Amino acid sequence: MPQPIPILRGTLELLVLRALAWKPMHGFEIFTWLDQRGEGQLELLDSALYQALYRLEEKRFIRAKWGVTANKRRARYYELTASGRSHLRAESDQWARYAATVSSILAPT
Amino acid sequence: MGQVRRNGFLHSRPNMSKRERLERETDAEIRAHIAERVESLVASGMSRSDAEREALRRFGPYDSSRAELLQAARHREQVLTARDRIDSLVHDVGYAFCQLRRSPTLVLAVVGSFALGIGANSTMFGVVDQLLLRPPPHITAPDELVRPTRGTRTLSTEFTSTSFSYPDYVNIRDNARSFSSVAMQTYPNPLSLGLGEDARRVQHILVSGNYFSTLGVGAVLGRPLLPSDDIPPTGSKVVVIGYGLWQREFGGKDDVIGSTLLLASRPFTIVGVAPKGFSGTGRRPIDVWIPVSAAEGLRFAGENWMTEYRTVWLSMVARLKPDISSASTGEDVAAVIKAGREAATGVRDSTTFATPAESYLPRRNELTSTARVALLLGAVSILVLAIACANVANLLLARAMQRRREVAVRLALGISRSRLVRQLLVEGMALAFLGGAAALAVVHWGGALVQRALLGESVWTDSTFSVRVLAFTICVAVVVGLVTSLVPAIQSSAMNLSSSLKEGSKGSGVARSRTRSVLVVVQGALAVLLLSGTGLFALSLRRVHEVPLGMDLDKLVIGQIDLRSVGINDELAEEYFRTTLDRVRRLSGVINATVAEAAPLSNWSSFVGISIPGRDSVRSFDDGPSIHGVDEHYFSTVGTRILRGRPLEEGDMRTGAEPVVVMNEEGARLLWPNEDALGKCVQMKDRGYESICFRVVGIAENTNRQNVVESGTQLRIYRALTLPQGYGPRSYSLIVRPAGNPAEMVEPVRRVMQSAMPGVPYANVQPMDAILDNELRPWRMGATMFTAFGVVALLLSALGLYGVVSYSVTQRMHEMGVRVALGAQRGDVARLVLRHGLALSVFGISVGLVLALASGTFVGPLLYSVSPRDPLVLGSAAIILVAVATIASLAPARRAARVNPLQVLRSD
Repeated sequence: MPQPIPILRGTLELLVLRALAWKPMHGFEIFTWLDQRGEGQLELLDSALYQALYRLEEKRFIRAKWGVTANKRRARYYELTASGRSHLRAESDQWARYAATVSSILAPT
Repeated sequence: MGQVRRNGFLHSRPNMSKRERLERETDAEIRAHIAERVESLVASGMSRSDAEREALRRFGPYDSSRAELLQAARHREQVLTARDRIDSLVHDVGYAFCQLRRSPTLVLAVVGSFALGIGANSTMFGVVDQLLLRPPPHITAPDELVRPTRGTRTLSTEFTSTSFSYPDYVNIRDNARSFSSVAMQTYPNPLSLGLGEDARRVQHILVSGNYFSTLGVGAVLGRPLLPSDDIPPTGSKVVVIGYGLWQREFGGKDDVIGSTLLLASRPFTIVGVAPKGFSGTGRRPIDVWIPVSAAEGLRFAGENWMTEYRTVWLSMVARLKPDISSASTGEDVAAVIKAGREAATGVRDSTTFATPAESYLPRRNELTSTARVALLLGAVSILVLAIACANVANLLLARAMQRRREVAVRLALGISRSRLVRQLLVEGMALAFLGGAAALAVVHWGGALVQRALLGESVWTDSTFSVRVLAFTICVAVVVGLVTSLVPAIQSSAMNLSSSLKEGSKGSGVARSRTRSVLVVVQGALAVLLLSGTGLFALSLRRVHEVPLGMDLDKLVIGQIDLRSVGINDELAEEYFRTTLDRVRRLSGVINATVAEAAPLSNWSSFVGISIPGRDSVRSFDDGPSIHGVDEHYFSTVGTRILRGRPLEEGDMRTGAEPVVVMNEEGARLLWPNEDALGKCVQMKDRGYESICFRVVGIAENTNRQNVVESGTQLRIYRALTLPQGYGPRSYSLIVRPAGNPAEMVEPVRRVMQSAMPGVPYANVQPMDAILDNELRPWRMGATMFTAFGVVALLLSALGLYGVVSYSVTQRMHEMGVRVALGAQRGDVARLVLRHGLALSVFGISVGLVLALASGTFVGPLLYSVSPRDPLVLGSAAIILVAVATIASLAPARRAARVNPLQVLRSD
């Protein structure tokens, strides 16, 4: 198995928002969702994930509610707010353009 | 706008601290995360113990990660809490404005009340601030500056003076140990700028070269005066001009430095411009500062000004050395003066004694009557504000009661009581700030008027709208906002939920209407107090106007000119006045005109000792005898009646005529108590004509010498303006009696005075009422302001009473209906309501009268020959209030009388 890629600064928040755009989730669910979608390529750290969540909550892009997991355990569920959704949209577009530009520059001619 | 509410967790301990709860929640989240991972690892086939170890490993170093997360969570909570607060405040403000927009009449009434109340206070604050609180502007450390004084003790009297001679000043400057620097200044005096028909008047003072450095004031343009400008006996002919003069005469242009100013026909070079608003240590505007040694011919002390001890004509500004108090400077100053005088004259100085120096800060212990009136009006404006607040509180209470059902519903829906109180407070504050903003408009428009009327000619008045006034207004708005909304807010939040919901909007609210009644009583009391003040001041003003002056001053124009300042000698001066008088008498619209040594009530008199042949000595009189040189037109122009004998006539003015005088009644009574003064002989100890016998040819009625209001009358002697022996008068005033409006005569008279001879300085021509105005100002001011405030108070309390009575009628409609249904006459019902309104106001009036009687001691000294407890005034105030209360209760009474019992009873 190749070495996982460390996540670029600021990207984790965008990824978390993307995960929550799917449905409200608790922390470990987000973790699992990202791990699966990234096919294990991304280096996800537990405490980094939660810090990103708290930062997003602080900016009111997401909000938290206590709920019960499938395993009957109380957990903090996060959901996207309206401003989080529009932020995600804007940032994803930006990111896509950025990635495309960088890739086209780096592409061997 | 929705508010984000975050859910709590683990409410097992309700008194848990926020911090503790946050820690628990974060820990719970971490545990849930690890547990979920364990489940997922077990599900993928790992043994539970391995899975637990792996989950912990993946989480990383537990303690440090947990600490990091906790910190992030704490930060999150702080930010969110702050945002929530701001959001809910914004929401409350929005809600408040939304609610207010629904009742524009209420907003108008409240904002109007606040605007008047706060506006009155801010205006008076501005005035009091200028009169009493603020030190003279631009001066460095004004608290260190003092005005040295000296005491003089003669056999009969003892007095303190701030006036010194020039050699006194030099001695104190060089030898007093208490001061780091001592400067001198004269009192501001008018001076002619330009000559002849272009002449204008400017205010000048003479100062020493170290004046600006002692005050610590620089120039905004050029340089201040320096010690090198003032080297006696002849200093440099340079001046610093005031900011006002710079703007007026030179359009504020920079090239003014170096240009020449013709002051009383002497050229001076402008070297600097003083800062805007700088007026030295006083409050009167100053246009020109001249070095004392350069002011040849402008000095009061004459030729020997540098050595003459006897003429005291200047005051001093001294900066105290550190750690020296103004009280301790007295001995130092007195010792220096004594030593100097003794060394110069060789005579022991036994008359000077030590007195402490005075502060240049506004004097709080020694109030002028204008300042006292301003303070009183300040207190009155607080009363007006109190009435306005009572009114607003009343309106808000009424509103709170109309909204009982709404509030009850919101409480039932779970809004917290503290939140409710906050919303009501926000609403009150919003109203108060709207009122405050409107009050600033009141200050801006009304304040300028009040200040001009109260402070008169003062440089500081151009700053009616200072930062201090703004800050004061904001503070007052906050306080009144809190005060007026707190009572309704507390009452609303304390409401009984179920009964309010059941009763709907017509509930009994006994406690609340009691609060409102108290407010109405307070308003009534304050209104009576203000109305009494109005009456007392108006009566004072009338009494002052009725004072017999022995002159008819209503319609006079006074013209003054200082010919000596431009070097016109006495002979030419006589000719000038002869020509001027001649031309003025021929002006159309002039009934009469005269030239005299002094204008009526002008404070100018020569005091001369007198003797009577055959008597050893004439006892000295406290304040006189004053000798007054007049021409043959004087008595008829001024309106002083000759009681016996004849007035001075043209023949008496001629050279070689028999020397005669007219004496006032008081003089005749004092000198010849049991004889007829006519034909008697008086000798004056003056300028070499001691041996001449002046025969008394007429007795004139007594007149006031200096003030409209003065105690006692003095011995007064009128002699011919031009004495037969060729002694000219010491000064001249032109007195004109026009047929029409004196103000319209000012310019024609001034034109004559300005052109009667080439090269004359500025002639100062004023209607007599302008001169009297200064003296009458405190009473006039008191009367006008009290009237304004009194009317406002009356209106506000009428409104308040109407509100309460009208509300109680609404509350008691049901009862009224029952009464009518049971056979009560409609008149009875109306009387019932009227009685309620009158009972409230009578109670208020009684309280107000007690207050008025109690405050009499403070108001008394400000009144003129009116008792502060004048029964007529107090009675009228009470009657006016009863009348207004009746009118205010009439409309609700009519409404009650028209009640339809069927309708009211059915609506239950």
